[in-house]
Amino acid sequence: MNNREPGTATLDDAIPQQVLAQAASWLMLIQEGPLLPAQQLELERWRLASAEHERAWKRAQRLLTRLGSLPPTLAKQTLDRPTGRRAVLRGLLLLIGAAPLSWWAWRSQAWRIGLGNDYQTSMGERQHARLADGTQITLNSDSAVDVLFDSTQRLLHLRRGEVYIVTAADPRPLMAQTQQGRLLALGTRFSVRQLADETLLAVYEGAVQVRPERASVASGENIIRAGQQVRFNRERLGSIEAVRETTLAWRRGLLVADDMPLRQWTQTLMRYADQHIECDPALGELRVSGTFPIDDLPLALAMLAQTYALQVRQTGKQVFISR
Amino acid sequence: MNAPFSPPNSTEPCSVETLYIENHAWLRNWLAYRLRSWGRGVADDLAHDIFLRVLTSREGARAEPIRQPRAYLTRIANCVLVSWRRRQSLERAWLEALLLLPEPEHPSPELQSVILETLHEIDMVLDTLRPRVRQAFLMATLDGMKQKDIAVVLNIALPTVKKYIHEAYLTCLTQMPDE
Repeated sequence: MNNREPGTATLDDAIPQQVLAQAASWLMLIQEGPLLPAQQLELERWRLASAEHERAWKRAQRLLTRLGSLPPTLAKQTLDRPTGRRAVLRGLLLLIGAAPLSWWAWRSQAWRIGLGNDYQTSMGERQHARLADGTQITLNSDSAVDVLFDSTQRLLHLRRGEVYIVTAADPRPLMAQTQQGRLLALGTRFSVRQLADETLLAVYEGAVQVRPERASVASGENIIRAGQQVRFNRERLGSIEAVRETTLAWRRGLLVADDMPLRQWTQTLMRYADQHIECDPALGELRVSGTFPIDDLPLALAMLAQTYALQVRQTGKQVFISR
Repeated sequence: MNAPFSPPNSTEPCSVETLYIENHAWLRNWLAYRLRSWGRGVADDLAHDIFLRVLTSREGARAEPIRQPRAYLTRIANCVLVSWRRRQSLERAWLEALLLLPEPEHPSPELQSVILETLHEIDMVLDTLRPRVRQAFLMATLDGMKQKDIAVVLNIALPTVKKYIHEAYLTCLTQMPDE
């Protein structure tokens, strides 16, 4: 950032803080929405009032251009990087990323477009899409989303399965609809999953307001923030739990288990393959850790069997795990 | 001009050449110790950067002679080290963010290096801000969130949000050079 002419004294150069503060106020106004004609005129007048104002404004414009040139989601995640424990968890994701694993191949070719703007995946498929407003969605296995955008709102209707949403800035509110209610996104990354009788919402960035169908919610209530997840039905919200970024590893075709009950492990993998996995009750409360492919059930089972010294028997569409 | 082999901590003023001859090896060791997990190559590169910085900052005719060479070098070296470490963690976070994005959505390698440069500049400025201020600023500028929404998400009052964003913009403007 330092392009000063050699020998120029720094102090002579400095623009008074008061002038820079005024420029900052203008930037904030512009950030909140387009300036009204009267405001534009006033800004012009302010710029022309002195050479220092003009200099400050040149900087402000450069700052706006630079910020505008960044890909928002990537830039946000990079600049807003966490420290401490979460940083370690994200380090784990990086480690996974370093491994050259062929089953990472993005399997999204087989999806088909349904009526209107629908997005659908069948079992074992994933689908990534960028919508007209720049919002990005990723559908997990066996999922369906309708995109209903009009001049006043952006609505994503989750028909079944799970969708991960990275919202793009737009004056229209972005909402997600499930069987149990509506979610209002507040500048955010989140995922929504339709379960049998409830919806599971996980927020990774920003916040989401939950409006269960039959509950009246005052504004400012039912806000789920980054790092939290919640289940809700039509009447009310369950308790808020912590959620980790590694939950999203499915987007790369992975399941990251960290001390996960075996039962949960098998249930997760059953979402991706047309197979029924059962465990010997003698395995009891066995918990497993590790990174497994979700698109290659035989490989995942082999990895599990090897790590935990288990036997896997397969007959037709039935898989049985025992000691 | 000083005698080329005056003791390194002498209070006699010295030139950049003398500074280099007398302190280069010492500086490389100083860096190698602090960067021991990164290997000698990184320390050598950074030692080079530090002397370059000394040279450019002393090109002007008005530059004062250096009286405490090692204290002077340590001060610059610390700045370079902090900046380098921050750059490392920035690039790491960038790669992790990319990982969460499917391949077709990745920017081209050329564009990535341009973006990383811009990110690094902004990151160094943001480093001086409190986490909450930084968060509010990023939500406003990168997420395009309205101030009232930021207030809800961060659970703070609207005037505080305004104060935070203003502070961040002001810091950016203050630290930016004129073109």
